Amino acid sequence: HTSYCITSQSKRFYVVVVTVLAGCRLCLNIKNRKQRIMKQRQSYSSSRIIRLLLLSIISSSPHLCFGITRSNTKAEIDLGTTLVAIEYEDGIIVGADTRTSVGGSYVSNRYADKIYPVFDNVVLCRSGSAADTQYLANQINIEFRSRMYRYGGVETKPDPKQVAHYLRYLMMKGEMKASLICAGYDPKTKESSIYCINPNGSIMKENGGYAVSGSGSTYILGHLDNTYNNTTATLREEEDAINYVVNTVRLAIERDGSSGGFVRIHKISSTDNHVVSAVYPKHHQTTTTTPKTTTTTQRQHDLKGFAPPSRKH
Amino acid sequence: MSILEYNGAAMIAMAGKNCVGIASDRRLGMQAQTVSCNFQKVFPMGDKLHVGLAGLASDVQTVHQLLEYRLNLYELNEEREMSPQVFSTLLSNVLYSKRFSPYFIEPIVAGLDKDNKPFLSGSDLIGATVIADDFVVAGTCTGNLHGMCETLYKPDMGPDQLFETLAQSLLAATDRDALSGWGGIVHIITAEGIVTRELKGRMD
Repeated sequence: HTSYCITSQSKRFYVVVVTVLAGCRLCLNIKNRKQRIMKQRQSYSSSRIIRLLLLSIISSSPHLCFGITRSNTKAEIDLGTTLVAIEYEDGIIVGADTRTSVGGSYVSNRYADKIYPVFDNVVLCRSGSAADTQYLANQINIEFRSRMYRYGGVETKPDPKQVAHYLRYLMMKGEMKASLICAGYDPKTKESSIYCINPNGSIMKENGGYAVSGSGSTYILGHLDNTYNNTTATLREEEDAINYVVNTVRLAIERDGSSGGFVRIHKISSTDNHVVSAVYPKHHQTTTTTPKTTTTTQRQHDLKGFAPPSRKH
Repeated sequence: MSILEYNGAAMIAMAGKNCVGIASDRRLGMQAQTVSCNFQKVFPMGDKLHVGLAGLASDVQTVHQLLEYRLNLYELNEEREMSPQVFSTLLSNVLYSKRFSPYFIEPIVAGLDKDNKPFLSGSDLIGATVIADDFVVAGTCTGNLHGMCETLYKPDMGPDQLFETLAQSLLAATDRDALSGWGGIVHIITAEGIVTRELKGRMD
């Protein structure tokens, strides 16, 4: 520990700043500032000292003041999400919900697109902070396009392994609040693969055939563990696989407050390029809407002619 | 996330011509996770009075039981029904008595007084009451609810139009909130009786 004592000229109090080693530089900053100001003024008040202190903390080490400034910064836009990627006979089906929320509660976008296609054969599924993941997707696009022009020629497509490892390299600093699934089909080896990249930069190839990510993923991981191996035999048809993914994402949407909206589906396979569709999951009926009437005068009052709710989905 | 937003709620009470309506969502959650889709937040307190309690679910149930106890005691002692104005004042006093360790709820009261005139009031968690003649809202998405009600409200609506307005406002507002929704329920209170309808909405 190092401690510096910064005194107020008004002699009303002493501000003692005890800092641990990492923050030593803070106090030097404060002292420098104080000396600069003292040349201009004779004395300064208690409130000015506190303001100086906070200013120095904020300017010198932004991540130390995470607790102080968090309430002043704008609410971060967060992709509370459900992402599912499964391998089926012909390739990969990727499904995502479409809700973006701000500050945990307000839904800022009901139809967001969280699946970012990189060329034709790789997709990047984004979950975490919207700003960070959009930046990463853009960087991937820049990097692989420039690689294509520089080294490969127009026909070269990246394989998902390259994309995933480059993402890992971008995220290794640990500043990004993002958790990504990178899935795709490699035309050279004729194999499809799914990679998960965690926020601190670790990469995992999912050999089990499916991957989930996002806040809603906890509700469906058990479901996938239980049903995926039983259904792979039947997941030959594209439609069966799509229905399976839609059903899985629907289960998460019904339980997770941060997931909602449609289910966007991307298909990557050997036979054709992406087939993109947006599907609203058809869920089982909720309780009936028969009106229940209670009267005080034992007379049934029937409100005929009212219009039923006209929301069509 | 504040303690009032832990379980999630959305509630509107609106006045029409000689009728009132009160609507709420059905979700009970634990922050992001949804636990139940048929949690009751609007409670009948007599034939022409409903109280809706938005906020922490534990306090919703406790305050409901407390109010029912106080109301029954009043009616036994005074041998008359409690009018909505008196009920609203009672609620305010109950909440203020816990000024420094409050019940984490935002209640709204909707009822018809003995002349079948509509009465609406809303309150904060320590009992500051506001009496309105058009609508009151409470819950986690009050911004959305105010916007929808302000747009769709007209004075002197009949019971069926009031139902339609309440239903559309609630569903549109909860579509933009991650913590409320998963269905809805609307009670329309008229001189003849109470009609309750459940709304089928997005379950997300």
